[in-house]
Amino acid sequence: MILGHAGVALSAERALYPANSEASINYALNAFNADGVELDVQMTQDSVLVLYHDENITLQNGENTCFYQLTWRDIEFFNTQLNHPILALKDVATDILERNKYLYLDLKFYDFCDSSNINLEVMAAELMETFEDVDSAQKSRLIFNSRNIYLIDLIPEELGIRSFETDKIQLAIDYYEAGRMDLLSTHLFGFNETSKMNIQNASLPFSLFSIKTRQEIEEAAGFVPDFVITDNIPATRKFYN
Amino acid sequence: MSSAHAQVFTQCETAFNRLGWSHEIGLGMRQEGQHYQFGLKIYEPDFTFEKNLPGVFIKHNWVLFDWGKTNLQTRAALDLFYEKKGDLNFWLSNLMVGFQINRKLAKKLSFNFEMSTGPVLTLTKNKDADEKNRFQYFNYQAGLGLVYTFSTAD
Repeated sequence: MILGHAGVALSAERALYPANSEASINYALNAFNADGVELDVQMTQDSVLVLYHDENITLQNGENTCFYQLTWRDIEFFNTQLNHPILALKDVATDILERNKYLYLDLKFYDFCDSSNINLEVMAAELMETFEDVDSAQKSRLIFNSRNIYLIDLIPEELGIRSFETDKIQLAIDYYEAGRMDLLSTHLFGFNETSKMNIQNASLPFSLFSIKTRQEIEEAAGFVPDFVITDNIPATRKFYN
Repeated sequence: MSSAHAQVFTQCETAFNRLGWSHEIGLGMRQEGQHYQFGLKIYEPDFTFEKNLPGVFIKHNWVLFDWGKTNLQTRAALDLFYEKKGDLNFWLSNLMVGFQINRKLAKKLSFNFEMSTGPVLTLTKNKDADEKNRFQYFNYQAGLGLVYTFSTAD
């Protein structure tokens, strides 16, 4: 399955629209025919799940702050100045799943201003509320990814595919065998034939990311991952079709 | 470059823009500083296209300043492409306007460098869902080309 990175692409030189914007999501799904999109999810101070990649945000007054320090009201005000507003997850999630596309949510959990994790229980509860009405077919196309296994632990197995992001393959296998996650997400960089053999032996599904150039696309295709998160959907589709 | 007699030329050009690398070959006619051209253009399968399918283009250049061996032209080009991406039909048009510098290398051969910008309009239709979507964004490109003139006025 080919998933567009933050919509069409995260990297500035390939992004036709801002990352995680509605236009970028629609272009990836409706113009490039991606199987789904990978979107970055952060939570505001008042517990609204929002699609935004960077830890920091520079407001109209020039103030640079951590995303978690903002409220949804701050973002709505900020959005009035943007051509492509920052979206709330609930505004786009169901629509993507209803189109029979995959929705891969990269859950950000760290507040760099406070040097601590955000409230993981609240984030998990908000995710459960967002997807409570989603049917089982749609849940099979819904992926929750995080580098924090404790956040993954809080997501019920029946809500969707639980993905753990790490480059430590053996750790992922251990978590998988313990039933704590369903999918490994790992960088292409550092992934090799031994990694592939180990996860194959454990029957662990995996996704690869950090894929941008044609060389990286070709290299990733050689490992036959279950999901590819790419910054170049057309060139990636060419390899898989 | 300007002449009362019409001149026929062919041009090949390679350019890079937000759709990727493109290569085009065209046939044109020039008269009184006006250049009209049509031809085929192909994008390398990369940022936008998955296959090596050619599109078509029409182009008009107008000589703005002529300094003998070198001239400055304005240019306007319209490209049209179609590609089937799985169950999705993808049409793309790109109108580009810009400037081009031509430098004569030999009696019938000249070299050009161009920079242009303009909107990309995309229309997609999903056969199964019978759903149409329109998108637009700005494109910008730089390109290099060679022009061969089949006949000269003098």
